[in-house]
Amino acid sequence: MIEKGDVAISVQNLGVSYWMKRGAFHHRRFWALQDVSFDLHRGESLGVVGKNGAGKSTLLRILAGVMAPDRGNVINHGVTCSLLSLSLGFLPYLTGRENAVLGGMFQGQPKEYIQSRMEEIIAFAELGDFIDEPISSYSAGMRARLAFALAFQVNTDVLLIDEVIGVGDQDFQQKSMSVMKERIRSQDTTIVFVTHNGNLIKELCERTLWIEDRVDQIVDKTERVLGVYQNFLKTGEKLRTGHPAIPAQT
Amino acid sequence: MDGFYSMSMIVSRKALLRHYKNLVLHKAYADFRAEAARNYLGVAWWVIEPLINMAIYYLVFGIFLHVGGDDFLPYLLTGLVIWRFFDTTVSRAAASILSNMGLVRQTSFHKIIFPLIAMVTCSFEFTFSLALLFVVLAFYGYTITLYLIAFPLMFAILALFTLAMALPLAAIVPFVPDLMKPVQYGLRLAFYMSGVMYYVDRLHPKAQAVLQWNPMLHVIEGFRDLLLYKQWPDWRYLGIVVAVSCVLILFGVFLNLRMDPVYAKRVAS
Repeated sequence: MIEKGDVAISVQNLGVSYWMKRGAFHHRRFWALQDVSFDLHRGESLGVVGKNGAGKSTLLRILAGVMAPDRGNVINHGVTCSLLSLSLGFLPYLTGRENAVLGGMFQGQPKEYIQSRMEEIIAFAELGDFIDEPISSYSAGMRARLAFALAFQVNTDVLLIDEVIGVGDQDFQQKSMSVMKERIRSQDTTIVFVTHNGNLIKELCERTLWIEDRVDQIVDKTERVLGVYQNFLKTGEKLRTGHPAIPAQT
Repeated sequence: MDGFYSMSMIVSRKALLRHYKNLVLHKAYADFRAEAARNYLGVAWWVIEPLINMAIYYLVFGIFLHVGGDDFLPYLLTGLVIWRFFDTTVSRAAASILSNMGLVRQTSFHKIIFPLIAMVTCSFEFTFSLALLFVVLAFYGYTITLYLIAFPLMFAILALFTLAMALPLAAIVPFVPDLMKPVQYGLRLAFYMSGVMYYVDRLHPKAQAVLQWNPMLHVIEGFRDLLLYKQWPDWRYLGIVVAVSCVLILFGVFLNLRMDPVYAKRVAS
């Protein structure tokens, strides 16, 4: 068992490419991440910032083990990861309850476990009797609340959160924020947190990683990183640039 | 990282398999519900559709072309019901990973469960058309015989051959979506070559020799042996079908595991 503060996952020179279909027999390969390195420590909450298309979601997918890196190494020192995002694969014709069970199972949680936590999920999502209505009748906010409530019942060492927070009304945001803090403090959950909301990161994360141009720019104390990042948003000044064209590797 | 093996609450291999089993059944049931909810008549379509199919083929082959004798209708329906299971499972499973791309991009479980889910969903559907078949057989005076005890075995052979076709396709289609077209035409060709709506033994010997190479012909004949002719199927042919299926299934599993870490990298255009 690794202790709080130890390295949980170490990412070294990570490169990830996707295949884009081009014509009948051609695939173009493009690199969503070219060279990213950082260590994730047990029990910390790490924010990830960067403009759209910087490769943040790709990074989370790699950490979650959804796909394999094309280059570099991702060394997991024995932690379990769950990737959570708002879409979570809800099926519109199923009820909230059925979706919660199925979604939880796809996150690797045993059926009985999800069922035993159902009351908490319903209460947290503030869904009441709506839990037995089909998801297609939910508002966007209700859906998001269910996704969030489910996310926080998932029993895992590392939570990889893609833009889930900041949903719902003010009250719900407050509530989810305090649950998140509570979980960080009491359960030693490690959190990697992708968002565009600088305030959220400031409030939740000690450290932040800035990815731009498909390479890591800086990973350091949140204050400092956000400073550099906001300067970039104003002036376009980067600390390092990705290779304009990395030759496709086979 | 090894996907599901790294999930905290699932510690043993046994627990993992149990979890996969639950997941497949749950998702299959969900897809089944989706299918049922798609139109007003819902589940009734699974009985109506084979009936309509049967009516069309009976009209064309039974009445216009004088293919059949007295028992042509049960003969035809048996073939149609078995074929329909094979056809729907293979087409659905072949597209299954591609059509679940949203989930594929989210979770680290083995994607081979998607073709399995497709097969379980189609099996639910199969029970409906099977019920119809038994009603029609009873109506024609067929009775329950000892030979029915081999029915589960016959279904296992059908399922095995279906998987043998479905698994390799499911792994390749996400990368070559165009493959779905030849698959559809191939299925149609195989349908006409499976002796569903005519009697193979009345064909030219050369034609018969060609058709012998179609495994589905032997599978369908096997079901007819049990249900209609009250005799044991020709196990020699079926044994070959099983052997070939096993090899193809191993290949399919290998292909699926091989492709597992890269499915999510395919970007739909």
